[in-house]
Amino acid sequence: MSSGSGTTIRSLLLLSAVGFVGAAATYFVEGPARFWANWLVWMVFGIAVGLGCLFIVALEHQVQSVWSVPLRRVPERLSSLALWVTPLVLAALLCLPVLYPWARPEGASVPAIVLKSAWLNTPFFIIRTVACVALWFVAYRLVVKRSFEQDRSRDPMITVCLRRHAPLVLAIFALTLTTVAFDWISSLEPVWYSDIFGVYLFAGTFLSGLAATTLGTLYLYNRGRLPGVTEDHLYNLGGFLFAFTVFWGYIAFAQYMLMWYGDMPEEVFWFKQRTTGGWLALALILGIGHFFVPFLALVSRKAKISPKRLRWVSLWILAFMLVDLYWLIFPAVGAKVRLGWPELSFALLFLPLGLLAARAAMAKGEDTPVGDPFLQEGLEFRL
Amino acid sequence: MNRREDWTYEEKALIPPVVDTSRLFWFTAVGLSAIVLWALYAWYYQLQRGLGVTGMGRPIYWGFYITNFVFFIGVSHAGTLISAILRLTRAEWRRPITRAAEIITVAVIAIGASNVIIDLGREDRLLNVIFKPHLTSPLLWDVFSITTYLTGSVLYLYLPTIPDSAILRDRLPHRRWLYGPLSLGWTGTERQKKLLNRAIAIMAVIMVPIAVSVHTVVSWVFAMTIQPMWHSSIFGPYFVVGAIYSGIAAIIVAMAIIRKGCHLEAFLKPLHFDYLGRLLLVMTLLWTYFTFAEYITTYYGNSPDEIKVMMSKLTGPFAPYFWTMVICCLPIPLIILGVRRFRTITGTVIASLLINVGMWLERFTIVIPTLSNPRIPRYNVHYTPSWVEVSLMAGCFALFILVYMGFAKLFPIISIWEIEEGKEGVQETAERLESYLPEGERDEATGPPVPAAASVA
Repeated sequence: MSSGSGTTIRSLLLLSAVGFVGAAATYFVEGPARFWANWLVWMVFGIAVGLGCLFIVALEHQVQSVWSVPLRRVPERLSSLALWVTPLVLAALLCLPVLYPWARPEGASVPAIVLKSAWLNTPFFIIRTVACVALWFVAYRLVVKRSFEQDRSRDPMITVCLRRHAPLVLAIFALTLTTVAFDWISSLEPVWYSDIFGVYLFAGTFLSGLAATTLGTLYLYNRGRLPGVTEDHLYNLGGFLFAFTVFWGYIAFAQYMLMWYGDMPEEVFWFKQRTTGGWLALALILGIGHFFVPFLALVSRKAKISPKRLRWVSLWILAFMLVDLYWLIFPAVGAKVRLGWPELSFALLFLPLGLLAARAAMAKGEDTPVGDPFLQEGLEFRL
Repeated sequence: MNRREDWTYEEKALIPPVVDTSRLFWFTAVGLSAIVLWALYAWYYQLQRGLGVTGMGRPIYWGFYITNFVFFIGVSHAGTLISAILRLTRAEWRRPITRAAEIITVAVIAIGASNVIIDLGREDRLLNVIFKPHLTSPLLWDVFSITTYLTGSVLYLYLPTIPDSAILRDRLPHRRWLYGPLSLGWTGTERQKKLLNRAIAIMAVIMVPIAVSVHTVVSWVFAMTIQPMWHSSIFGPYFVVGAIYSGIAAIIVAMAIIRKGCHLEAFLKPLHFDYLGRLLLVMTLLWTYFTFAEYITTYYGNSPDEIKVMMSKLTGPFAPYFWTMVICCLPIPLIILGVRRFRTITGTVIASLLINVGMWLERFTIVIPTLSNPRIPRYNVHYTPSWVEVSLMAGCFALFILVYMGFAKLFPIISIWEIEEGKEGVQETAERLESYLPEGERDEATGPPVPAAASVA
């Protein structure tokens, strides 16, 4: 067993090393813009999965939901990805002059950018980024860390305390995620702005968190490590995935339809860029893949309790979060759809590292929050 | 059988408000009817002389009527969304609330929609929307979605009244002509119960997307124009959140009146106000997020037309309305609902009344400032509502209360059978929990079972 897992770790690290070489080569061969665009996709993806899981934990405490207590350890463990990803975020500050027109000297000559300079300037951007990163550590401490302590101490007061912290964590989540959406993605094209953009990223983030939680739950469930968890619990996860697939569709449609119909030059150009040339095909794939496929795959009651179905839909949703980010970020740096060895290299670099981080996270604490006083009641949950 | 002493506890408490009418009720009804009649006269006056009798004109072609329309359709989200969501999440504490909420929905959709008709000016052209349809016009979608919503809400209100109609049919022989047909031959068999619960569950699932789509489409009537500060991609969810916010506030006020008026203190407990208060607190925060996102993005976007509208709200002529809205919707509810000590019945009612005032002002400050500052500034007009508009608005509110009171004289305002079903559920849970305990301890552990914490997720 241990030698087997050693081999897995070694091969994952090897893959990652190959990816690293490719990524480094991207920087010198293809130029820094493509390098950082790839970096940004994976960075935001990591934030989405980690913060999505953190949000699930905080939400459970906030609404005092009981059915989800037996599953809570999975999002608690995976929320540490939000902390793992922080070096990537800080390193990405180097890319400001490369990717962001407002951070370059010529930005000062574009009136629409000058008007936004109170928000879009390098020192303030760095302050916001550092503040976000710091707040994620605070949020993790507030709502996750003590739950692991509870495994040993079995102190019910910890649950009371976690519930009390939940609203604050939700506020931190809303503020920082909206900042990430506007700063890191929307301001790639500083002329464009959309009020709903924070909610749009939230929809994808919550879905990614749910998909990761479902995958982690199924991993434990299939190995018999979640005794007492039944199809009824899985059904709720499936229901959430379904509901927020619809929510994502709603938000994406609201944003697209209004801008397409309004046809205002300062906003419609953003969609025009993303729906002409090769991007149109990608936009259609995104609409079908991010909405219709999971919608149809999860609509029936049977589908929501089938571990097999839930597993591939979760993987599918995560994959389409990546497609979504690619579609949001890449048109800002190049006119053409470019999928080649650089993108593959970045996938090879970050996927194995992400898997290793998830693997390490999944070993933390007990498989269920054994000290939570509501665990038994949560296990008895039936539809 | 029909002597009151044979009735169950719920029937004894909930049927009398339907049949016994106090003098205060009649006084209120007469007073409200007078207001409604006056409003009808105002409408007649407007029909005779045209829309010139209102304060509207170019470019401010929407005023109080459309503000009321958006406000009422927003309040209507009380019933469907709250009751549907509470049913779907099996929140047990919903039982005494759902009926009171669903009536609000049906009453205010009809009143809200009629405000659009009043705003038309040429009511004879009303059906042109359907006979000469424009698929790209959000107005047509509005007609589709609101009629669907009204139909669905009536059904969703009606279904849970069937068993209660049967109870009233059996208990009140002199009203058998009414409740007999309404109860559709309900006898309370297992099969009937199963079918009914299924039908209600299906309707609850259907009503959630319909309700969301209705307010989204209402918002798009604004957002699909390219007017500054209407053309915002966030308007759909922003309106939906505002709707749920004012809807919950409306339920709390209605519940407090019912509680006092019908002496139902035993059913509508402080706990219900506490839980609804918490929901209201969550909505306060969500509303704040959306409002903040809307204004900060306008500031960030910094387009001159939009800044002009925004400044007319922040510091210009609309500042009094805007800041009253902010105070009513943010700091006061936050303090009252956020501090447990203040989250009492009185506290939640005060917060709810303020929120309803604030939400009406929100609709007002969405509709009017944008129209007063069009992209092409050709006119310089200030909108002041005329007596016709004020009368019709008063009439709408009076009519709403009147319809509500009338409904309470037809059906129990709290669902009798759902309360009884809840009691059965408590018994079953108690038996199940007891079966886990060792045999010897059972006798000691037969105290009242602790109900599970509300699982909203």
